Amino acid sequence: MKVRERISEASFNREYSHTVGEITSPNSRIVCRNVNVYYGEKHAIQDVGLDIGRNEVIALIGPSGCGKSTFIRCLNRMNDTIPGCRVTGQIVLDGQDIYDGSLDVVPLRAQVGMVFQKPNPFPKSIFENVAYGPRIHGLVSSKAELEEVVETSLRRAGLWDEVKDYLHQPGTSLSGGQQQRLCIARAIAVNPEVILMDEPCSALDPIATAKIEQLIDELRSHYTIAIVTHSMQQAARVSQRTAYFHLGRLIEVGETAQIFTNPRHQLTEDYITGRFG
Amino acid sequence: MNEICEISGGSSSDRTIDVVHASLVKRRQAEKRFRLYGLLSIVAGLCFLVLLFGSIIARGYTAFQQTSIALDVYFDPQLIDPDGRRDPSALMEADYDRLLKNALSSMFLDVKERQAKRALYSLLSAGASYDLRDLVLANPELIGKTQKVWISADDDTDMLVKGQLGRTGAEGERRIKDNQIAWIDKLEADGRIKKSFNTAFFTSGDSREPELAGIWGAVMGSLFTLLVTLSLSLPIGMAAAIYLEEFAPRNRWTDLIEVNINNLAAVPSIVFGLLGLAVFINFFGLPRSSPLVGGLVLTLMTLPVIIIAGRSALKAVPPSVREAALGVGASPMQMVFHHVLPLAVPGMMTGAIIGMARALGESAPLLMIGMVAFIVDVPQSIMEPSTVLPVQIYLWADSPERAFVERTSAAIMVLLVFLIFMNGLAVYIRKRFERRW
Amino acid sequence: MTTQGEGHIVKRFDGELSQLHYRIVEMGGLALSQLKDALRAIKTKDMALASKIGQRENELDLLEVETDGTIVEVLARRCPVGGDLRMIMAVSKGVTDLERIGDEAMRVANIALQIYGNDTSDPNEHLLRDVHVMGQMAVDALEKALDAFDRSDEDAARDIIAHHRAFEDEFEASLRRLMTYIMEDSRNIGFAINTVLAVKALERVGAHAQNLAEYVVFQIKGKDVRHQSP
Repeated sequence: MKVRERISEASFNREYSHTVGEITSPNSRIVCRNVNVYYGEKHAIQDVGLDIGRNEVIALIGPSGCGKSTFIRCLNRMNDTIPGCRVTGQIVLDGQDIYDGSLDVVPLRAQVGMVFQKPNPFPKSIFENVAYGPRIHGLVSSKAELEEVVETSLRRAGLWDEVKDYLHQPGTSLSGGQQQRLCIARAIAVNPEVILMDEPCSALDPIATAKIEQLIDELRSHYTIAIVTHSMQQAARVSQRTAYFHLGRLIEVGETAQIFTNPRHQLTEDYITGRFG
Repeated sequence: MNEICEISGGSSSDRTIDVVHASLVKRRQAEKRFRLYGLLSIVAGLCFLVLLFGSIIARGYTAFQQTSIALDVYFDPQLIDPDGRRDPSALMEADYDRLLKNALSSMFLDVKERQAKRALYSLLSAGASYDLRDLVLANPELIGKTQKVWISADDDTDMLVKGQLGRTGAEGERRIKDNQIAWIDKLEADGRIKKSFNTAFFTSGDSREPELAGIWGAVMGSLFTLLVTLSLSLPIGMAAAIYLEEFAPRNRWTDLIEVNINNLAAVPSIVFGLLGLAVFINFFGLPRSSPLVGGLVLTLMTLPVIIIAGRSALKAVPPSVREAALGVGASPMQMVFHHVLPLAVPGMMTGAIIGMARALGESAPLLMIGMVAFIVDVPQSIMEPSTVLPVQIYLWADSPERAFVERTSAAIMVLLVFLIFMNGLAVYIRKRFERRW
Repeated sequence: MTTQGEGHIVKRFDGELSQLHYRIVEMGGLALSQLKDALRAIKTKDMALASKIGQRENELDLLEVETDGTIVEVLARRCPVGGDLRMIMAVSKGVTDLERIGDEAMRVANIALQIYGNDTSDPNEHLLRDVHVMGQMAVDALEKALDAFDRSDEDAARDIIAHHRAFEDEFEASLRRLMTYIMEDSRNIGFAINTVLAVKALERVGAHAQNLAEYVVFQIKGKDVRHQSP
């Protein structure tokens, strides 16, 4: 309830007239209220309120340019790097507004990891890719400990058995799916609490996609995961809750099963059934 | 089906594939023509290159040889060491010219006239007496003995032997007279003339006498100048490029700076020379003609090149790498130094080397700061007056003596070798360190 | 068609869905005419009509198999979600119910053959009154249900569900009446059992019609209204 104290009662309970469904989660990890994002003049995200629950996978779906990627990038302030991008409203993680002026983004990003659309391992060895995060954050004190962290992370990412003999090969020599799992291993090596995934499978074949989806399901027990995806089937497969964005607004959010069998908003229905003209 | 018919014009004989076939011949020809134009321009470029290199090499390769004349020199103790004490300072002062003249006279006893004698003596290099002196200083035992010594010939003799000076034509218009030709021919017949590798060209400084002039002074001047340029422009240029590309906010001020840097890269280099003269020499009072000032001026000139090359190398690093680094919580500086810079360094170094090569070949701004002065001594530090290779070339090209023509070409060859080496290094670095991402 | 105004981006998907829709309308029409014919055969003692029903039953079975095949194909290829998914589920279940209705119609027809096929005396017309009344109610319910299905009319569907109680009451009343007849005159026993079976079959038809109506509600509202006490 500490979270609720920080966000004024009025804004917490206010109605989001354009959002259908329950935006709150019984076990919130991240609480977003009145989030607006502007790219210069463009109002990219309009008044979004959404909770992301502990140990849940929330899928963000919507047509291209609907603001789902923009929204997910607000959660670890990756939008800071985009010139002309302005964010208003509250995004509260563990009782701390992450857009508070006093907050340092470096620890925030250690807490909220990110996996990107295109697999982007560093052009360094597999080991170095995973070891980089723990090393810069000073999470390990010895080489042995670092090796342990690397192994655990690679194991959790389901990649250890495939790469344990090639740890000093460049990460870019792996296949696309392996590269993406390496990026996931890199993200979890700093032991984040939340993992954001921005269309992690859009460049992968179905088998690699299935492996990532299985991995997401396994990671759910340790982490909170928000995933942006263009594949509705993927959203249906991996998530517990689904949020539908349309033209910068959060149109509907709800249990994934409900969204995909009985969406309440006409726009959601039209989008998931493929009726957008 | 209807649509397909409409596209192909409706009639069955006008199938798309037929239309394509009809236009195919034309397209193939256009393609062939285009390739031919490309090939022609490459060939033309190569022709000019071959012409340029060919003329330079053809004119200059003889400079790497120097004619010398063998004389039986009697190291007369009366003349060089009258006291018999072998005192080095006395030996330094002695009249070695006399020894040479005596040796020559003894070979051509029939030459009696003053004027003819002078003509005879002028067959030898003006610096030949110094060679003898060095010989005696190194080995005082020679005094009182007669020894066959190879003495370097005068540039006119050298030219005649190399066949570069004509033997025909009116005697008055020739640099070398009939009697001299006769003496040289006699010497040659006696086997007293030989051509050997011209070490002086690589080891000595400038001189009024072509046979004594070398490029070592200019090479050292260039080296010191480039050292100053490199040690200033590389760190400053890289720091500026990194700051502008990675950290500077994008606003009107940075835009202005960017425009100005691009402008500076296009400013005629002589303007930098004027600036250097006004600021470094007249205002700061730095020594004129010194590699320090030259290096500073060339730094000004090279900086924009290095900054622009550095920025484009940084820009070429894909944003995904930056995102990846920021995504695991690297600070902006860690992102730049751990990930972006290692990927950009080959490109930045390539730009820097190309900038350096440009600085090496630059002469105009250095003329303005006095590096065009006639300097005989090889510079030992960045504060001593010196000249640089391109300016040396410019100086020699201005000299009237025939022998300087081949030396000019030879110096150009040396400069070209340096440039090829530097550009080759740039290519090597790019190839070797270019990384896949 | 479905409730949405605009069609799918993939036009062929629309075609497949409307094909399914017409299939079920076609099956519904066939089942309805079978039922009507069976009832008419009992009423008019038309033996030829009764025997024709048995032949046409195959047609209905074939349609069911075909429709099921189409449904599996659409599920595999289109991965329908939302309203599309509910519509296909409704069709898939509706098909089964319609096929069962066909079976019940045949059962009624067979009873007609049994009643009139034996050379024993003509049956008591009074006994058949319940068959006629129940038959009319079943036909009404089925017609309404098919109409609701065709038009995706939720109100009509809810109407059918609400009226089903009356239908069940009528069924129980007719059972009691038939029981009385049996007790009055034991010679009627064979005939009465046949009548009971026919009435039971008609009761099933009514239940299937109610199911159809429930599928309509599911298709439109996404709510499962089965097995709820009214």
